[in-house]
Amino acid sequence: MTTLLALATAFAVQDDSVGKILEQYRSYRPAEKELAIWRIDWIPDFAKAQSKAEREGRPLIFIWNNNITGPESLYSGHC
Amino acid sequence: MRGYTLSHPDVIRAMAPYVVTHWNGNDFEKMPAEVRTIVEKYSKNRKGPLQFFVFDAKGQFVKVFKPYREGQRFEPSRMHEDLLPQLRELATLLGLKEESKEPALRLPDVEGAAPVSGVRLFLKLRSRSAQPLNYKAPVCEAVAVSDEERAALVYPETERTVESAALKRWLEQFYPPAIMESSNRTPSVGGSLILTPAGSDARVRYAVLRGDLQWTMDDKRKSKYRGTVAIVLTYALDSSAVATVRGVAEGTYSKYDRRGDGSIEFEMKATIESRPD
Repeated sequence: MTTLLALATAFAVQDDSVGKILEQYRSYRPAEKELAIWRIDWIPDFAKAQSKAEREGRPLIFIWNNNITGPESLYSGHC
Repeated sequence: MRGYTLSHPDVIRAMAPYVVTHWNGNDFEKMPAEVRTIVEKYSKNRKGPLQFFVFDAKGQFVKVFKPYREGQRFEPSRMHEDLLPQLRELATLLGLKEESKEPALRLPDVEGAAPVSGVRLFLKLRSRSAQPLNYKAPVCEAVAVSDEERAALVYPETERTVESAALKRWLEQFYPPAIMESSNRTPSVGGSLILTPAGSDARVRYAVLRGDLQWTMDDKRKSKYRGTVAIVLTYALDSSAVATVRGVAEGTYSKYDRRGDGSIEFEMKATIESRPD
């Protein structure tokens, strides 16, 4: 049974669209240099960030973005 | 701020010693109590869009500052030049050493080690307008996958329809960031996708999920935009449970331009990938 399955799948053909979609995925996904903002040690939840800073003996920066005309999460980029 | 200042390599190295958190908005009723306490206690001058509050390793308040020079034209692409000297002054005050090497990448992610515990979406915007400085850094959202979503994607022995509502929590992330008319609610999504078996190889079976959908923003104009979704799903040869997700979404959002005539077109391109990889 295992041999039959292996033979069947070895000659199986992938739908053309699979390769095309995966190629699009690779070309649209941001390059590592575009993702630099996530090299900052973000902890979006304030209380969790405070706990982590305390646990690791590190200083904390809290950024308050009070720009109501362009609501944007500094962490995710979304509103 | 995200695409220039907080993506600048010198700023990233200078911020490496810190745990960094944030709050977005000026509605004091919606602020968590601890955030509200800090803002009310330490923010003396609330004019301007951004403030940095700094606490030392013992949790003691050190200072609050703005990452730009007040009284000058707000210029996001040059803000790092104002922020860096302030971060270096802080490092001296707190006795911190600046990182010489680039800190590791920590992308938004979901908890869970089993496939598929979640999906991660990246979204990029392109426009002919010189305006979208905010969009230089991509959006990244991580969404935990539910049992219902897994059930909607079990291997299709024959072609079948998957309603957009079944994957609403993924699809609703496909919306433009930082648009000034946002109500802070994700858009609604309408339409359906077709899930089709797409062959196999020695390792896995494939299926393709694709279709055209319509999104409606929760703004005054109920702005609508269309997009195309195309996703490759894989399954183990002996299982109907989805094992990996890789795909794209693309569409054009037309933003009402209150200062000009008509609208500004934003080309949106998104990727979706399962987590863990």
